[in-house]
Amino acid sequence: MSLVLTGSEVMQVLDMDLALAAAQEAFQAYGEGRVNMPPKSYLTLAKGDFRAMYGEIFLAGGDHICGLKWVNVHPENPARGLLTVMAKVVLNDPDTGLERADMDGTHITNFRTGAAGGLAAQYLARQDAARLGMIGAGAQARTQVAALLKVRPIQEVVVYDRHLAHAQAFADYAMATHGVQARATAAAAEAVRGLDIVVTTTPSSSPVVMREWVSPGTHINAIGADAAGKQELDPNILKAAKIVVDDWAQASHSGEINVPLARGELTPSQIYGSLGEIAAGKKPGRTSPEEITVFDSTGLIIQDLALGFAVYRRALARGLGEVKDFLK
Amino acid sequence: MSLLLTGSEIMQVLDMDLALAAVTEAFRAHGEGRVNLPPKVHLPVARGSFKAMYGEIFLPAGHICGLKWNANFPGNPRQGLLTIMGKLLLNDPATGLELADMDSSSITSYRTGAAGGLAVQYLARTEAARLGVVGAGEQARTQVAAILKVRPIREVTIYSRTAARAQALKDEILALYGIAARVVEDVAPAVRGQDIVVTVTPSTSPLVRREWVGPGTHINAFGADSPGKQELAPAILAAAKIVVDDWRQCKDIGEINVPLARGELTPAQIYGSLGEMVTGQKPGRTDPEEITVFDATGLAIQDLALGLEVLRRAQGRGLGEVKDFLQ
Repeated sequence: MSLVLTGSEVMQVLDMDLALAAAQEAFQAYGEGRVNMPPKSYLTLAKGDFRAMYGEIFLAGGDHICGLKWVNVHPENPARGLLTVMAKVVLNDPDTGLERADMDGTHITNFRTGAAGGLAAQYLARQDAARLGMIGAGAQARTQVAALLKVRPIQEVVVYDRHLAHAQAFADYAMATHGVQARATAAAAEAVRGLDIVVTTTPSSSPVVMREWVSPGTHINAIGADAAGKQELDPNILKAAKIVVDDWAQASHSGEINVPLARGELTPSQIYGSLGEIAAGKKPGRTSPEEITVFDSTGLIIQDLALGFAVYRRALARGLGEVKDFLK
Repeated sequence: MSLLLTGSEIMQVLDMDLALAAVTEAFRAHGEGRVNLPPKVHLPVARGSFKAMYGEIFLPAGHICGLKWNANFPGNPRQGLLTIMGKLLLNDPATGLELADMDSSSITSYRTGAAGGLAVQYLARTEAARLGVVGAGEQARTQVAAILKVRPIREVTIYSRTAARAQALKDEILALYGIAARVVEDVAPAVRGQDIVVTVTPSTSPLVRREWVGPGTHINAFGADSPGKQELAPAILAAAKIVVDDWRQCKDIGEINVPLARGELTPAQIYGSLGEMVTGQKPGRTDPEEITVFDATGLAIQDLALGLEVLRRAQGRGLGEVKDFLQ
């Protein structure tokens, strides 16, 4: 029996608190070696791509789950009134292979990505971080802000986007939704200089944020790079920073560090560790108010599985969705 | 909008003729380079494993991409569950939108059987009448069904490690096709004197010996699907015209993987791919005396091509449940 959940059914039980708790679970399991996670695989198409991500996770409460996410990225979709990224999450019983859930994974993807940023800020940003800069104002930017507001006393948000109108719309959204001060800027530097936390969520393949803009003590969530050749940060920022990755294998291939590593501008020994090691207490997060920290996020299937499972359990308890036996 | 189809809904529109037609188109596209087919990937877990197979294919019936997520749990039958089950997703390559979300069990069986039938069509002697089957699981059933569609089979000989399973298959063949099959207690009589031999076991060491294989035999080697598996003595391969479904997959996980790794076979000894026969780029059997071997590992494009046909038929008959996962 599989529980089939559409996007709106998922949204009836999904919120950022659930996503942050699931992210802590997922990264702690990673840090404690309770996951089985091959690197994601790609299907490259003319107008976009698909990624197959699959894995297994042993959750702290004794639950054991495995499954797959099949997610597309089609950059021209918005022009047709469609989402760029749409996803399907399938959860299976690791003892028999039976399907337990078949759900829209679009919101789960957005929330789990935001939550990873929030978790990274919890361990790596200064406690008093109050000023947030956003580079990029798409769907990922929204859940980043939502998660950061949960973990730090953010009072001010400065938003840069290649399209000023998008930045303005985002600033309006942040003010209306979260009641924070927010303003748009046409200069990327203004969304970085003097800020405590900077989040980059662009599809850039050349640096958008320059070293001289970044003050001591800044924490950066580098979320945008998720394929070979993509990068958002000046390599000099990485050289000066404590770099934390979500997963070495994925980050070195497709994360923010992939281009500087390939060019020899960065060496593997300059990577401090993984968010999982920090979440599991094996390595400290920030240790000085002056250090620059960077979280390089590529997105892990265990985040989707942990959050998907939490959504599944809540939906089951509330009688949401459709129970379907695909084998019948 | 996605069409959700359960196993029984699929069986209302799926038959071996549809599978043979769809799989022929899949291999034709493969032979003509109209596919995008990364190698399948695996998730091993304690009691079994999962496979993710995905790709893109340009068919006369449409341009489609998608993924199959299949579980393989050998201990499942003891719990009354299928060993192999899973899900097939079809997507629009232009937008990524999901078109179908269907049970994959029967599509997997039929597309695998159909590949065997297609290989027999190009590689077995036209008058082949005697069929030997080594292994008596689900795959054996669709192999028999497909081969009966393309050759005048009059005699079937079955060997299985588990005699009861061989007997059950024998009964089924009599009931379905009116052919009195014979169960044998050794592998040798299921091979000696047969025109076509099908191997569908999970073996990791050769079961079929060179001296049992007569001139002119065609062998469908279907069991090997992961590194270390093999069913045929390497000397059979050395003497045979070897046709693969896909070179990249077969060299890693097919019947040829072990002998290649050991240097008992070289890449130059592989004759070609089934797609090259379907498109006519290479002839199939050219001599009644030659031994031919088809090494099948199973391709995502077979699932996509058959899945698309099932989707179209189900839509035409109003079957299944239309669901918008994005709502």
